[in-house]
Amino acid sequence: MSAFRFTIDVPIRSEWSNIDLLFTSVKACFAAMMMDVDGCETVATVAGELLENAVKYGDWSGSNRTFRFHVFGEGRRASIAVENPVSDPEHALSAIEEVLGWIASFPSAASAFQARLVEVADAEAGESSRLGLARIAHQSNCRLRAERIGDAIRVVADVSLSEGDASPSGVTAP
Amino acid sequence: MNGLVVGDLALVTEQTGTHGPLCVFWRGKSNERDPGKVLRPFFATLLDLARQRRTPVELHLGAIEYVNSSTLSAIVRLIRESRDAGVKLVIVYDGGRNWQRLAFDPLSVFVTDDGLFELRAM
Repeated sequence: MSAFRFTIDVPIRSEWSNIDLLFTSVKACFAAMMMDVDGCETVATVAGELLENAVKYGDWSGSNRTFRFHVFGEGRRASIAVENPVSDPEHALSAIEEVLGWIASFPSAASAFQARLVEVADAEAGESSRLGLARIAHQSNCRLRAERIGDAIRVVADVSLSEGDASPSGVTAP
Repeated sequence: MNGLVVGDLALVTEQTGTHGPLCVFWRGKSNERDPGKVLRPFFATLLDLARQRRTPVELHLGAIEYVNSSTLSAIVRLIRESRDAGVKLVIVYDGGRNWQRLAFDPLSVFVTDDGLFELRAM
């Protein structure tokens, strides 16, 4: 039997409370599809961090206060994509690519995550930690990529729910 | 010391005797936009009390369902602040849960010879 395909593709209002609704929904959907509790938690964590970034860094000054959340895949591969409007797409893309390049410069996503934790410990409270991307690169061993789509930025995490498919660093260098 | 409830997160405090560790049991999900806003003053009070009583602080995270990266940031800053205050901090997590092991085991980077920070997987 061929592997089954799945997709969740929804517009989301940018209220913070919607993040937990989606986190819980994604976890429940994957729990219904798979027996693998760890895999469900991995996908939900990746979704949660990307959704938080979208709401935090998105531009919600216009009349359209929604962004796109898309989870799709086949078999034991899942991609989690979040696409949100930003005020300066070039700057936003370059900032994300800088973080992805920084993570990729480490021998492993785990060592990048630890290095970021040390930076956060030394930073002033209230500063943006940029910990989320390093965390999901480590925790899900995903491939992270970002692209500009008009006035929006799309960040995609490709997660392999079986072992051995992701790169050692977990990040595709920009 | 009183516990704390914020959003989906509940922190329950407990101390055995006057010299036992100050324990904080985490329940629910820590998914607030800026959890540091409420955790920072809570941690500050906790550290003051621990310093006065000369007891360690223990964070018991084994039962927590989820923490976002902003919460991890707040915990990491507590590790630094407790060391600065000379208060021993112990973080206990459930090593049998994959997400907890991946999220908390990297905190071992803060373990040093001074013994002021300890990480325990249960």
